[in-house]
Amino acid sequence: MSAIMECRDLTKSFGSLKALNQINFSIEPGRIVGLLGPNGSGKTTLIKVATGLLTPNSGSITICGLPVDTQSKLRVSYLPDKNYLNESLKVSQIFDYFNDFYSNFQIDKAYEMLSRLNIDRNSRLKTLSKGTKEKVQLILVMSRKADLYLLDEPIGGVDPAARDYILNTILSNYNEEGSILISTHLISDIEPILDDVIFIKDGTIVLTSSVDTIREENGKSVDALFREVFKC
Amino acid sequence: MLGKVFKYEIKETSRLFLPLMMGFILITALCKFSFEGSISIFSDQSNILNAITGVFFLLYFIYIIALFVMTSVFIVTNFYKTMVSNQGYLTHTLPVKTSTLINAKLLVAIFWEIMAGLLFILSIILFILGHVNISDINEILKNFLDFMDYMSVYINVPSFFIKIFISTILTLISGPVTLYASIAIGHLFNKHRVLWAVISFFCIYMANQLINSVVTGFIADRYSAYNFEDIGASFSNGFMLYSIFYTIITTSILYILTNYIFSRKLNLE
Repeated sequence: MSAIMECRDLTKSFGSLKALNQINFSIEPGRIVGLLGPNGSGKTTLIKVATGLLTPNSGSITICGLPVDTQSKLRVSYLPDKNYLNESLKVSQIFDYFNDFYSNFQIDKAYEMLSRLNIDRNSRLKTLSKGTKEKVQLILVMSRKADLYLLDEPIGGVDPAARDYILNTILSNYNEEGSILISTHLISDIEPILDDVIFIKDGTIVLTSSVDTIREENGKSVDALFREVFKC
Repeated sequence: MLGKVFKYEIKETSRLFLPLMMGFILITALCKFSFEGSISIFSDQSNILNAITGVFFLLYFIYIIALFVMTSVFIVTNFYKTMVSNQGYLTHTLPVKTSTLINAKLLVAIFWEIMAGLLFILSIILFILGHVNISDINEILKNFLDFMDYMSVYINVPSFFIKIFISTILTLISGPVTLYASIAIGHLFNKHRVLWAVISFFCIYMANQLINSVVTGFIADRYSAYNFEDIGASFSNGFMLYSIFYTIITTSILYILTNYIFSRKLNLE
């Protein structure tokens, strides 16, 4: 079975700034991977290249063996780190939109998650609080039966209780034959659900390892190792 | 897929266009009623009604300009919002080809342009209604047909009308495509993308004007016309044909460029 995502010598520059510098790694199916690094290390850039929102300068990236294109986009479920939906629409209208365009959108599941959160399906996005909007965006992403879930800072702006909820939602709803790549700098919260980690700094990968290996070989948590590696 | 994208585009753009068009219908109706009222034999307050009618007609003329300007404004802002702004994150991660996205938006733009044009024509008809009778229309028609007979010595009349029709359709297409291409070109830059888009638009416009004046000069030279009939002939046979081919070529180039940039050179912030 081919890797869910594979990067070879991937480079992306913005003018003179090298946001990604010769990135090499692959993600196997059925893994939950943490993309960990300080702010500005290239996490969002890498995810945006995988979703086709940024064009790399050199190197290659494939999703399930496919180049980043219309076909791969069906297999990828992406949660951006910003509001990207049409805010004047109602939640139900956005669900219909996703259902229309993504054949792997499970609308019943989405409505189930929505009702468990007590969010009114007829409320317009712009009337919802920031945290609620983020939960709606998460529901949209996790309701898809995708091969690769790309979550960019999914727990960044929410309170600790909401963070637990979000992590539980991710774990209980993703397609287990697929993989998840979560980028974050809140490592201690996310560490319990990760299988593998990738440390990234200044556009370069400094470490790739499974969480178990880190704990066994270093005798410390990923969070502690991160603080060591990225000491200011 | 094209159908789906088209459906959502129409829904979304209706929120802008329907109020605009409703407003136009309203001002047209106000003008008509006020005008009819002011000339009716039942009116005592003719001065006031005349003044009101004058004001309404002024608003009407302003609204006509607004109608066509805002149509272009809505077309370009909707394209910008959904293709290169935050909503672009949703648009470009859909499992839909870039060309499908552009085609759907183009078709929707043409749809609203046609609607605006139709409303305008209907408003004119509304004003004429009740003031023109069948014999007037017959006379106008007869004069028109006589003129066409006369001109048929110099130009192929049916082909002239076909060229007008094709030119109109092409204008409906080339307008939005030029706007889209300007935004696409602006997107190639790292900073000040909107500024570069505006600059590109003017550059394209200037380039078109320049080439057109040069070619018109050549054609005028070649056809050396001194009277109305010959000028008409050179216009129909020479200039219009050239203009149609020129527009087809430039619009195609701009379309291909737009599609290439958004599918291969996308860099959303």
